[in-house]
Amino acid sequence: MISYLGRGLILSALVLAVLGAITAFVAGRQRDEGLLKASRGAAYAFSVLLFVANGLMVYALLIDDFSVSYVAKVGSTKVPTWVSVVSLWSSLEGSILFWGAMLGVFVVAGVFTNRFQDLPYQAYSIGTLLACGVFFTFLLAGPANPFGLIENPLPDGPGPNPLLQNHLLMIIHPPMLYGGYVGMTLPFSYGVAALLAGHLGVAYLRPLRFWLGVAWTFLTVGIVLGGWWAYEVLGWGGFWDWDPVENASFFPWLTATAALHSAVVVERKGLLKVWTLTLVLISFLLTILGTFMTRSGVFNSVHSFTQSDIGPTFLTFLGVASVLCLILLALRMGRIEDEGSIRDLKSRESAFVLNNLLFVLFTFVVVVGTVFPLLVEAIKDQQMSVGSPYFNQFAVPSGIAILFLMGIGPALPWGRATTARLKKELLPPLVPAVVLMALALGFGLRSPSALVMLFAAGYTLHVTVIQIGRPLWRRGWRFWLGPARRQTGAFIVHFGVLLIIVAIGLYHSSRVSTELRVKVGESVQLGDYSLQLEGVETRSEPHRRVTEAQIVVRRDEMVIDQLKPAMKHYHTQREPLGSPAVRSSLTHDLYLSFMSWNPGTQQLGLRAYLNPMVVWLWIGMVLMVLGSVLGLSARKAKA
Amino acid sequence: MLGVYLMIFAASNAGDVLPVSELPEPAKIVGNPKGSTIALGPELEAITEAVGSRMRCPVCQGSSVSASPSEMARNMKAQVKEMLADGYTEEQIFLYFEASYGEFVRLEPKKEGMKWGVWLLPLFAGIVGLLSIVGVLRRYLASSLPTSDDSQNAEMVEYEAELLRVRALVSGEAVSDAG
Amino acid sequence: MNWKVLAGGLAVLVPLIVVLAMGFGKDPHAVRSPLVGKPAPTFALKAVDTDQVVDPRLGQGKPVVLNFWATWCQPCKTEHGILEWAAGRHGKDVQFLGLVYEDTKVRIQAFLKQYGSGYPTLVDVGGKTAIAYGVGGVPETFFIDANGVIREKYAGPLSAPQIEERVQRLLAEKP
Repeated sequence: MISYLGRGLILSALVLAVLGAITAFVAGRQRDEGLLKASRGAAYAFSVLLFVANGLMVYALLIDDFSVSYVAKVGSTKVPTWVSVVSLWSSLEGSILFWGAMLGVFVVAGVFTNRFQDLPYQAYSIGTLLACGVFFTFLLAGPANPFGLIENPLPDGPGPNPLLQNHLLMIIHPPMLYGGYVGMTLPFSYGVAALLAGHLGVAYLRPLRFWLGVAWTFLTVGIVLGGWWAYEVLGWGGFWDWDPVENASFFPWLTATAALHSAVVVERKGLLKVWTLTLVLISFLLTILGTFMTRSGVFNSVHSFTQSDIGPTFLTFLGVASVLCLILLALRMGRIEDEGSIRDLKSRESAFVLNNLLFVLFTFVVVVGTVFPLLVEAIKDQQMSVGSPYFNQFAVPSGIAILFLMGIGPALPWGRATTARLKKELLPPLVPAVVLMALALGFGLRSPSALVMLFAAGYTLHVTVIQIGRPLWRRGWRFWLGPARRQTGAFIVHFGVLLIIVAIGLYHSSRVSTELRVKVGESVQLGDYSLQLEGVETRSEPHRRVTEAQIVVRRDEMVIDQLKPAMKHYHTQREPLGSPAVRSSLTHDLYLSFMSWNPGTQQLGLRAYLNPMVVWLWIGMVLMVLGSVLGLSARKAKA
Repeated sequence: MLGVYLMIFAASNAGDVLPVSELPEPAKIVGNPKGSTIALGPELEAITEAVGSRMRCPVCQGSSVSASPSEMARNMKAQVKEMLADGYTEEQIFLYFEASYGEFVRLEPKKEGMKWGVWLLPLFAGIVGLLSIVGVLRRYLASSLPTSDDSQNAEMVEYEAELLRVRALVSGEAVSDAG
Repeated sequence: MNWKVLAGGLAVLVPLIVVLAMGFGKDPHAVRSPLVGKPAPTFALKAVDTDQVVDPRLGQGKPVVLNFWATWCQPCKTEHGILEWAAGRHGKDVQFLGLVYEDTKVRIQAFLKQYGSGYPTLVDVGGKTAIAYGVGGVPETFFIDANGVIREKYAGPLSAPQIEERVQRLLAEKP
């Protein structure tokens, strides 16, 4: 019953999307108000159908209707209610369905807030959104159908992937990432509309930038939470490993960041219009590439035997969409003319141009590194790997350059400035730069790249604080949160990024990792900490076996904590999952990872890390989100 | 022998210790050690860690032998450590692992043949990028001289913004919500 | 129409899409191993049930089917029965060997008691033999001919017809 109903909903949504998209493009072309209204209606109805389909699936999961194929795949009568609900996005078909619901939210929000825009702009954006809708509902109707009918259902199912139940972050990380991926559809549709309309003024730029910012914020949260999850669960003491799946989420983030910056130049100077639109289109295409990479199995390790059917569909969409975008750009770029000029190279606008170059180059490096093994395999039939040693060689200089530019750029005034003004802005930040570097030297930091990074960080810190604080102390907090709100928000984001780059730099240059062996009752020393093993216990749970060590942590003879690193063997999982124990502080984390346990000799093998500054990554993310929300909520462009 | 010690060590969590008679011998594949032996201690640990961070764990998604907590990775690391202790060089160790796993185990691509591409493409892109922004900046700088000037541009922007405000007022809707 | 942009864009896009599309064609089970066509690495390990050192006598006239497995691996359970069946059929002409890695003796013995053991099962302590064979997970099966040369590496569980076909191929090559 539910199968038929769900399938009916999906198919109606597909038909509606096809008709709505065609209507919208015709409406744009013929400037027909009536057709525009019809397509708007189609867009709303499309979204509602997807919401209902999602509700139906959640219902099926809750009542354990195993005649629905997706429920049979991830459902189980034994899991708690909340697990049933989140199983919606725990596996391929469900996550695409959930993706559809997200798309619905963005479509409704975008179409509604845009309803007073010029007709062609509105119509073309609705057309583009629904065209994307056609693709996703097609996936749901065919290759990734979650509403398949199972004739003779079993009484129970296997339950969702244990990874999902292992940690809370795994539940909120995917929706955030999807929010970023799906959210990119809106700015994309506005970009396409601007190109089709052959014009990009302030009125068109504004919604584009707003929704780009929204998608970017979701992506930021999704990426950082992904890193956090890796840190808390995977047990190797790190948060980022340049895995293809991680890189996939990073591509659109990088280009969207570039686009957010070049949009400022469009707004202030009327320059870089086509370039900004190009970046917006690329960001969207990269989200599709990213999903393709995570979902198709092409990039998985040799031993993942699950090849999914959606790969070819995704690749076709990616191919068609990117060729169409390219043709559109080639056709229309001549029409959208830049209106201004740069009067001096020592200006903020040229710093923005440099920023864009850095971000695009870095995106290029990550894409090349990720895709190159496939190229070699295709041509020479040889398997190769490109991993963190490669990426880090490029990421370190890029990161430092971006950090430094975050200081120099905002210190430079718009337009043209006198030498005296330049000196006044550019020289003072050198003081904290030198001080920070000297301090680090004093503390014994010897890594040259980390020292250069801290120099840049000191410089940027000064500039960022001035940029955040100046409107406040000159004109009061009403101004700070009023007309200057966007600037305030933007530089709070910068502050967050600064913290994150510094944290990563110090983490890499001065972390300590060792393997420890300790017998029950005995203690080992690690830095200032003394770790005493109280005991190890193994307990069996219905779906897993947990071996957990109890470790008493002392510093200066005082008991300060008890840590319980564990190893979890899920019955359905090949490799056991570690469950490291972390004690965080503002300067460093004590991170213990369970390695081995020998009941015979009563000896525990631990991998122990002293990870400096990791907390600042999460604090940095919170600042980025706060700043971004503050900036996005600004009523008007910066005064 | 250190080798045997390490092996027992790796098996210790299995709860039983089995002595081993004959095992695959690295010397048969990569020849005699070319480096100097390293004694057990922090130095050996550090070098093992470094070599391991450049070696791919075959059962993982893409992480290194040093990073992965999986047993496969730990076995591989134990072997790396043993070979280092016996005096094999890093290159020899990689060659040994390559003999069975292929170049797949190298996380840092070799600089040879087609693989140069992955190193040179970013540099090439960097040069093209730099040249093109020099070109763009030059064009923008040149265009600043006679035709358009900033004040005019600012007026245009102002005008459009005004238009938007008026439209918003007329429709009774805060369009700027979306800005 | 800006032809330069179009041409430049296509020059980047088309190869990218083609490369991605080629990723579909590959069979994830047919793992390219540099060992194929090379002499199989030698080893001699203790059998789990008898504690006798078993030398597989690679290259001494009998082809060898070498199967890496573990008790914690689900697909291995099904495959084990199929291997038992194949060993019963061809045991005289082909040496079947099971090599367990990352596992404990107690669990292996319990497994063999439940699922049967018609051919020797060896324990790969420390995973050294697995490394020498480039094992990247279990199950993985190597087909070694009478001269001790690895003919094929198969990743993932084998079905009965798949084993049969490969064993026949090994036997046909026999001098």
